[in-house]
Amino acid sequence: MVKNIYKDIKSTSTILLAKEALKRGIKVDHINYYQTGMAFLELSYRNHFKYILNQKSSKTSATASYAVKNKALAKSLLGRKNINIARGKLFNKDCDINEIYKFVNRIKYPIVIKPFDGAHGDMVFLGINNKKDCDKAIRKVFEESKYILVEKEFKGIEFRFLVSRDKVFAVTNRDPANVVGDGTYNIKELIRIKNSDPKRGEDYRSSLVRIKIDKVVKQSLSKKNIDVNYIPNKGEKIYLRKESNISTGGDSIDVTDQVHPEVKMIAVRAVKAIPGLVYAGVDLMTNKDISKKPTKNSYIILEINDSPGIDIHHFPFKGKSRDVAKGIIDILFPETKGRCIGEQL
Amino acid sequence: MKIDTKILSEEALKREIKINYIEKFQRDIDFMEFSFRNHFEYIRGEKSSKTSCIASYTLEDKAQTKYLLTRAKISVAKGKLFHRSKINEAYKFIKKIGYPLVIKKNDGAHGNLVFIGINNKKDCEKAIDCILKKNDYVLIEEEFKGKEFRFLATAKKVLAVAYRDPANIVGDGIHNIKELVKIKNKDPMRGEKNEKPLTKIKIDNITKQNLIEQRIKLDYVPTEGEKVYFRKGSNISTGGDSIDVTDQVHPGLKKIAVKTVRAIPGLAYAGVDLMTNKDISEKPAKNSYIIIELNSSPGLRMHHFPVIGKPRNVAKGVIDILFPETKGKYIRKQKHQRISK
Repeated sequence: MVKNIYKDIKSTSTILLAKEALKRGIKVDHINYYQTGMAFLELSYRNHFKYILNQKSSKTSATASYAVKNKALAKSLLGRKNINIARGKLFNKDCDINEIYKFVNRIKYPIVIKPFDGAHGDMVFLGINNKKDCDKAIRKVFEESKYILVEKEFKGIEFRFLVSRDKVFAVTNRDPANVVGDGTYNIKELIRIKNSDPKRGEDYRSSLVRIKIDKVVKQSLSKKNIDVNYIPNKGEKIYLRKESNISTGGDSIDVTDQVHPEVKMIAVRAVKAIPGLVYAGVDLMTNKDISKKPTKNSYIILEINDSPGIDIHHFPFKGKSRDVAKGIIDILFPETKGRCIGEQL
Repeated sequence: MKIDTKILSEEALKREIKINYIEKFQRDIDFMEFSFRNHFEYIRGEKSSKTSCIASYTLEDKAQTKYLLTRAKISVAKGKLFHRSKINEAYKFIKKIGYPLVIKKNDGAHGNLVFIGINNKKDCEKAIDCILKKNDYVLIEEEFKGKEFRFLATAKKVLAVAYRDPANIVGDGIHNIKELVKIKNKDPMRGEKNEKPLTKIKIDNITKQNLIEQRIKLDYVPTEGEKVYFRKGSNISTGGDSIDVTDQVHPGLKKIAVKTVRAIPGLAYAGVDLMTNKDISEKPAKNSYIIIELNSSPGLRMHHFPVIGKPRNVAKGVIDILFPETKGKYIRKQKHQRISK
């Protein structure tokens, strides 16, 4: 029976949640129409029902889910609670392009251009330094979206916090796809070696994802005046992409214990700023050491994700594993907290 | 501001519920905070924070919605979802169930990419190709013949039932179609989009196409009492008329609508589109109806301002769900807070 439950779930995060539930004697049923391949689970404990769909739970409200998807709205909600966000402005598709440039002149390069909604960072243009790139980004984003968000780029290191309305479960530093040289192999070979790690899968459903040599990677290498045949020195770290998403081959490094308690508080406040949000992945960027006390200008909240992958915390590339599934099931079924029927999984 | 949002806001203000706009730049989103003492709720369009995100996502996936309804023993159109890689199977399936068919895309709402009354292989191929251009899945269903009604239902009761008549004009034997549209559009109740109780009829490509199918032109003068339809889709936003039928509906059908809302986890209230081949006042049987789709952000204006029939204050029912503590507690001085954006 247990096997049956996992058979059609392709997302590791969802499997982790299902396992945690079963451990406590919570019944888990598949209620998805199989063809579309999403993971839709009904969890029930006595007469208490909860639902999970792609890591989202039925406790999160529809308006919360909408609010985090609409980046501009999320920023309004965060700003309202005095949480730092990137300085930026939203522009309408039919606005005068000169207005955008007026704003850019005011905030100065480097800037970030992204659509007002949508996730996964594929339409986010980082580190724009000149008018040519700016033009290109504006055009590209307007093709997909009726509003664009133009922001001042904040330089720092990005961390992913997995947070509820009361506490931080885990903090991960997501390092963009990279290889570290050994003085022998070239970049192509180093990628192959790194990809041979069984933890790395094909797509976003795995806790780590294989690095693909695509246009973006080639471009980022050519900006450094190297290509995939370059042999990095021993210990030399070569970044292959700018964005730190795990889904494009980034590494996850657990840093939960190093984070300053006040930074953790900011992450909790960010979740609380979105009404109806129960738990989320909070992307925070800081220009200070994460273990130091934050100041007003030392961090910004980049984005909130209501459907966060939890596998990156369970199976980090480096560091301690964090049982986030336990925290989430505690929220969904508080009456089963600490319960363990020790079912064989 | 959308009239539906306005209707909700007015009901809230009557009960001393405060309203706060959060996002002002994106004029089309209407994201509002409602608060009564220390109780906060949020509204986005007609969707509220009482509805779970999962309910909202589920309803965007038609096959998934049908699966959950079937699980609750509610009738839906017989059909199947096919991935683009398995289109051969789709044709096998079509052979099995036979024409007429309905072919639609799986996600999204509002009748986008829905082909009804498909009667032959050629139209079938055309519809499938059209959908697969931008989508990976195509939903193929047996066509159910009947009349469609919109139920506005909560998990406990039905607030109103409307019949939506597609955009039309009724002849007077004097004016031609173009003039009759102009006359109908003069009604101050009709607006450009959704800022008024009804929407103006637009003579666009779809209208023209429908007239061609009926072999009539815009300068045709319909005889007195002759009704000419401009569209197949009955949406109010494309010029349709709403007719309230709440009191005529058989309690058995109302029960089905409530059961439908309950079948979707986390849904607080919804617009339920039900099609029946029996009179709406008759007791339903297993094969006399199907649920077409649900909308977690249902229009309210059609119930508040029907063209024919009794207006129903459905905003009251919605606010009762959001703020049960304010039920029946109206303040004397109305609209003391002006709603503006």
